Amino acid sequence: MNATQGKTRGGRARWLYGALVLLAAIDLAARSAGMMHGHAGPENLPLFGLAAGVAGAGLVAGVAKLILAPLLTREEGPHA
Amino acid sequence: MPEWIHPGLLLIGGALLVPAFRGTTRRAWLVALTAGALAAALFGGEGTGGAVAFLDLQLIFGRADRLANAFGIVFTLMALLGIIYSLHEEDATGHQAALVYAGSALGAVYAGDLVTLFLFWELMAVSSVVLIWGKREPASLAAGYRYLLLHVAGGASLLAGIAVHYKATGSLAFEAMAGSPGAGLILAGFLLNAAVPPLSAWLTDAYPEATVTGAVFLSAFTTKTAVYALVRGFPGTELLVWMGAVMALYGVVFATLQNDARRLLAYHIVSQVGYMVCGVGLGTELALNGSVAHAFAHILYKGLLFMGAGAVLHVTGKRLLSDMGGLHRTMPLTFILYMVGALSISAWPLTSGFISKSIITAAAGEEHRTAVFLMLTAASAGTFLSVGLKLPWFMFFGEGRGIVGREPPRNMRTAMVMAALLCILIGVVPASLYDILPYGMTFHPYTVQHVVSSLELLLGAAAVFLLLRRALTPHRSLTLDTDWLYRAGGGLVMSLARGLGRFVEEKVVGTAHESILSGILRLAPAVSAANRWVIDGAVDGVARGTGAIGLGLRRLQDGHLHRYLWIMAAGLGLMLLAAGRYF
Repeated sequence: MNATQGKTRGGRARWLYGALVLLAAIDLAARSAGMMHGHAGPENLPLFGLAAGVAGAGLVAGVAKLILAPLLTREEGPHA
Repeated sequence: MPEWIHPGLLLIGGALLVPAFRGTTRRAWLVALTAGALAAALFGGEGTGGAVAFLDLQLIFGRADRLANAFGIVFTLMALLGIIYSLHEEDATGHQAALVYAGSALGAVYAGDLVTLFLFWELMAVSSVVLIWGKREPASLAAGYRYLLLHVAGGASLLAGIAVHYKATGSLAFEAMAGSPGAGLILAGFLLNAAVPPLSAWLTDAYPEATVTGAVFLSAFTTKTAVYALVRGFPGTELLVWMGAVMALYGVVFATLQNDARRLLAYHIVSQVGYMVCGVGLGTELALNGSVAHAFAHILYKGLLFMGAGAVLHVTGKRLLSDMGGLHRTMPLTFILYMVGALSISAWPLTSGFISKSIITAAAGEEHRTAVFLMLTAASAGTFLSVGLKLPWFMFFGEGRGIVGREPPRNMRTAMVMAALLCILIGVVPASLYDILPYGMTFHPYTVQHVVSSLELLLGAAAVFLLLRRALTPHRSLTLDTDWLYRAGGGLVMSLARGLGRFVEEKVVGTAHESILSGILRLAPAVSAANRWVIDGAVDGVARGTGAIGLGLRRLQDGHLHRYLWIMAAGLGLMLLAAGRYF
């Protein structure tokens, strides 16, 4: 990885984390202002989306890579 | 409905004429045919027709209600998009198979009775396998055989269930049948086609081995016909709620392990059909509408995703993510259109998936199914992780690997643009989808809470991808699924058969040879002598006797008629004498 790539990647990460913080702020502000009237279910919890996104993606990647890959993955083969 | 034209029979009938045309005329025929089928589905209205008496059965080929029409419209729409995508191909067989496949899926959807459903169900399996074999490679031939084998087994289960159901109820009407004695067998047949684990490996085994255009058709019809059949036959079945939720997670987890772009997308068919199956199980009007809406949206965005991955395969010949990279520079339009499909499947606001997926998760929330709601939400994050981030990152960005890319042919681009526009249209104007759903809808997906929550979920998944990108880098590898069971089972059967054959050869045949055949061989000299003295002697004796009689008769025939007359008179006299003595 050269310096330019690293800079670009860092820039992307900053934008992403910035957007997440902004969304979290909107979530909390709108909720306290009584603007959050969504659908039934756990979605009504504060910052539910953020927690679900991180936990859901982390769970899927973790189960796939840490549990299933050692059990079910073989190097090379007809499906490789 | 006397003026109703069956869109499926139109496609199947039209497919017969495809080889009669060449070049531009054939392309015009294909587009006109599928556009005609779309018009028939859009403007056919509701009603029942096409009743045919067969033996003692009353078959109904045309039951067009709101549920059937919703699937009819999206099936014909996808047939049109798929045909446009495949117009650059000259292979008449591929086009015919695609049309018959789409037509038989429509036939199943409009079937008013179980026998008609079964007939089109089987035709769908046979015609779709041609799209897999069309690649003409050993891997596709083998995958096609496995696909056919499983679908024949599913069809047998369906037929057995129909027979039991008919025996018990005396009815062949295709309606809700949860309490029927044959329902379990029928449900098993439907679940196999819906690719519900552990009956799902046929899909992820076969679809990546199909032709580029064949995979686009395959992604649309078989599983969604099964979803239609579940909505019609088994709404509110509790088992389906959990099967669907597990399926949604199963597909995304296995997709994360894949290196083959189209196999990764195939696992996401399993996952997305899981949402639909879950909605069927919930069984409320909102949930059933959600299942139909998600099937509608899914056919379009999944078709678009397979078109994007197929375009890359068509241009570069590469199917593995580990062999790709940097294609956004040479295939920018393909990348953008692929991303529309990727954002749709990930349920980004302003795309079709945001509308349809939200309906199902909201239905789960309304029924206070918190665990199901959380499972579907986690699957949604996992979907964005692999289809929205991993696949496009390693295909279109990442290392270049020296692959020379270019945009695909114009017809492929046209089909992709049309599919992308439809994904956005449904996302921006949800009412366009609501209008064709089976039940009335008052669902509002664009609330502040839902939009913010959805964006948080997607960006949270993106943050995870950023952290785990190195771990998610694809490698050349083989991932085992439940197909291992029947592949290993097949190997086990073969080795058992070989062992049994060896046992029979060594023990049974060997013993028979030693005890029976050897005894017979010992008797052979005696049999040979008997043959020589008895049979040969008898034959020779008869021959000699016949020769002597012939010689005597020849001497009698000296040409003097008066002697013949004397002999005849003597013979007659002897006969009369004998007759006189007898009577």
